[in-house]
Amino acid sequence: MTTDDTPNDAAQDGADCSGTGASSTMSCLEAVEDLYGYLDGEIDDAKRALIKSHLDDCGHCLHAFEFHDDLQKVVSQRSKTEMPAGLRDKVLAAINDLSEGNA
Amino acid sequence: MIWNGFGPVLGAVGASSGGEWGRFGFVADQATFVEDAEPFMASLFSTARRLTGNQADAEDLVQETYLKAYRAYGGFTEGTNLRAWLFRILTNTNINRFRAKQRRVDETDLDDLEDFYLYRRLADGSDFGQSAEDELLQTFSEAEVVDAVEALPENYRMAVLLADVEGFAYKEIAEILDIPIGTVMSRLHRGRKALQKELYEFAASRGLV
Repeated sequence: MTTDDTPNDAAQDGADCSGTGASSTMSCLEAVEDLYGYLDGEIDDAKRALIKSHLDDCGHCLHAFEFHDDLQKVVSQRSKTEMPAGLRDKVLAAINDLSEGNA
Repeated sequence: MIWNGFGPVLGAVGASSGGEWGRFGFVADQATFVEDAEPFMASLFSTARRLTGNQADAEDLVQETYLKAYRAYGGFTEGTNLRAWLFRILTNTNINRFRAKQRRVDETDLDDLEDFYLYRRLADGSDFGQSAEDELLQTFSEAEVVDAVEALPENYRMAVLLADVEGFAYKEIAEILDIPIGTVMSRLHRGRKALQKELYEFAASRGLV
């Protein structure tokens, strides 16, 4: 367990693997800082291109990004509850009642 | 810009406790409302289920959301984001109606969690290869993911549900929850860390890590 780690340790670890690609213009630290912005589609095109180029060069960061992308999918797919069969009709009937009662 | 016209309507929806008819002057055409709003009921229900933690309250919350939305639909600006508007009404209704019943969770612990909590514990472990943690992700059951989500403090749970499950943009989440974008990002950040901690503990309890 490493509960006393500082929040920046993940990024710091990532930084250890930088410098492997000459074409990379972004450090691991910078890439990991924007991991969620990248996955959420919340960064601009220029930064997205820089991160993409970094991920082409850095397997360590690529793996971290892919892991969090997969995690997001697992959470999304497995946290849904199907709507009960009768709810739709119940709600539509309630709307109808409201409508008629106030017509 | 897309939210022009929402403010006054939602303010009225948030403030009403049901049945303030004169406020909007007229009722939306029922068939139009049903046709437009009904397709979102399944995702609203699933969110309501995660928010309330039980089936009966979730059904009540969805029904109340649709009745409020129907009453306010006359003031809804066409072309704006109906799905986000419905989620905002759901959120406000939940706050007004179910607040008293909700669990209180100590949120201070979340500040101490490190970033990428789950990944760091899996990927940094010497006995884990690159594909092992990916495989572990797939072993989480629906029940475990649901429990992990429902264990989150409500503010963080809602941010995570809207972003990770419903796929709303930060700006939309800010409008739905009526908070600044910076707050959206920090809630999402903390919520995701806490969720990863919950999942890690499930994996640990199964002896997988």
